[in-house]
Amino acid sequence: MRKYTSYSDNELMQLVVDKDSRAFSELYDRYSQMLANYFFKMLWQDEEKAQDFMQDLFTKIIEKPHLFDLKRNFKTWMFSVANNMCKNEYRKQSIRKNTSYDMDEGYQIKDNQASALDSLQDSLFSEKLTQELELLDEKQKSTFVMRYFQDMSIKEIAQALDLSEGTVKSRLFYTLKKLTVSLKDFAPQMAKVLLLLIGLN
Amino acid sequence: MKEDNSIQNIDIEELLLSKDYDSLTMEERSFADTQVDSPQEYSELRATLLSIKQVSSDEENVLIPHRIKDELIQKMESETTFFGGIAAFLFPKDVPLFRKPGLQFASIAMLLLLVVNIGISITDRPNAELAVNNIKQQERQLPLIEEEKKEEGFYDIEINNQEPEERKEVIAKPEVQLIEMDDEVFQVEVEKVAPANSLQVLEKESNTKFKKEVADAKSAGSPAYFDTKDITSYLEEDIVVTKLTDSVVVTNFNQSVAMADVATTRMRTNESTTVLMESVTLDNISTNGSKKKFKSASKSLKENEELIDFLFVAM
Repeated sequence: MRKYTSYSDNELMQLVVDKDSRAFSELYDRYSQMLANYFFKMLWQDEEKAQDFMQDLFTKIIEKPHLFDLKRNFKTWMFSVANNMCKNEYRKQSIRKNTSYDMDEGYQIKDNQASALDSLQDSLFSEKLTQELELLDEKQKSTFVMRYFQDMSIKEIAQALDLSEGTVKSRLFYTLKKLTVSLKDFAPQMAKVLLLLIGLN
Repeated sequence: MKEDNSIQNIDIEELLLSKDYDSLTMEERSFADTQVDSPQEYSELRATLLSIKQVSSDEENVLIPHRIKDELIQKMESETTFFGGIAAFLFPKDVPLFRKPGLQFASIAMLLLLVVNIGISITDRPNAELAVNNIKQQERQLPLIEEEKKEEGFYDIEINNQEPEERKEVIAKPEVQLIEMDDEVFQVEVEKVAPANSLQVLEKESNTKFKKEVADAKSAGSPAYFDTKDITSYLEEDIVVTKLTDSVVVTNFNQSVAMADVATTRMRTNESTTVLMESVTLDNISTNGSKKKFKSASKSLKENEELIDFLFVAM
């Protein structure tokens, strides 16, 4: 008998439509961590919220598997659903202005406290990157997270977000430029580049 | 857009990740120059991108509790069973309480039940109230009716839960029925009356004795006796009422009989023999108020006077 690990995503999804719980279990193992990380990045680093959203997404798969178009790529379909869930959450939070997720003031304080001496530390860069990601608009953020945190291809991102590949590339490059301006003092690689440049000189 | 068209052909990200500015070929450098303002900017972008890649690879995974998978698998298995599917359909978890189909169905069912019950109670109430009123009205009016209709011998029961014009006068037919009967038959009936039984027996005995004595006297040719029967019939029209005694009402089942106008007449014979003759008028009280009189005559002997007085006292 063929092992479920050898099935493609779409084959497994077909089995899930037929109420095969083992196929569902296999799909969960493949994508639960990826989705949880995505939600974590997209939803203000809130681990509990990320878990809840990931569970909700898989619950939707159980309850309405027929909504999945078997001609589509399962991964991109799942991330498009996840992205829509995040959009809805952003809308909810935008209605609730001045929530704990409105971290602009916090960023400002940290910016002021940031020391140039700590700029080479990875941890600081990571923290700064996280903060800067939060300042991005939803479209840039989702594209960037999918690309650099979920290792999704340009094509997959284009499918998930229903965009052209060129638009995805353009959006990514524009976001990179924006982040570079705000992160250039913190990037560890920047320090290496600078050291390299000094050494060459 | 310049940015879009150029990136379509050569991927700037690949260049940034793979080569520094000095390592670029002439073609790549010319392309890179269209994307960045200076070699320094290219270097900064590269440094940032490499850092992001490093950070993302070092990124720790979000912890996922194992219970989430268990819950999802349990839900998946419950979906496979028929009743589990129905339950999942009726009470889905991800919708607000008021939008759960099961709750909506239950609400509708309860509402219908309530409406039906209210409808039934509304339709039943008027009758129940009328019935209650009826009873009260009857209780209230019965004594009056009895007073008013006593003489007429029937009860008039009005149905008060109907409109006045629709009211029916229920006439309880008097249990007393007028019966026309011969004297003999009436006598038999009277005999059945319990209080008169003793009187009748005694009277009958005395009459029999008297008739026997008369018969003996006749046969002996004695002038001291005469046939009272003839006298009774003769005096029927000219009877003189000397005394009106108390009326005695004898009730025999549904029939009321009044014994009244008992007249006692003293008649003298040649022998100065006192003959007591009683004329009893019986009134039969009818429901329509009319009276039918039955007359009966009897004779008693002098020796029975004592007995007759006793009987009167008894009456």
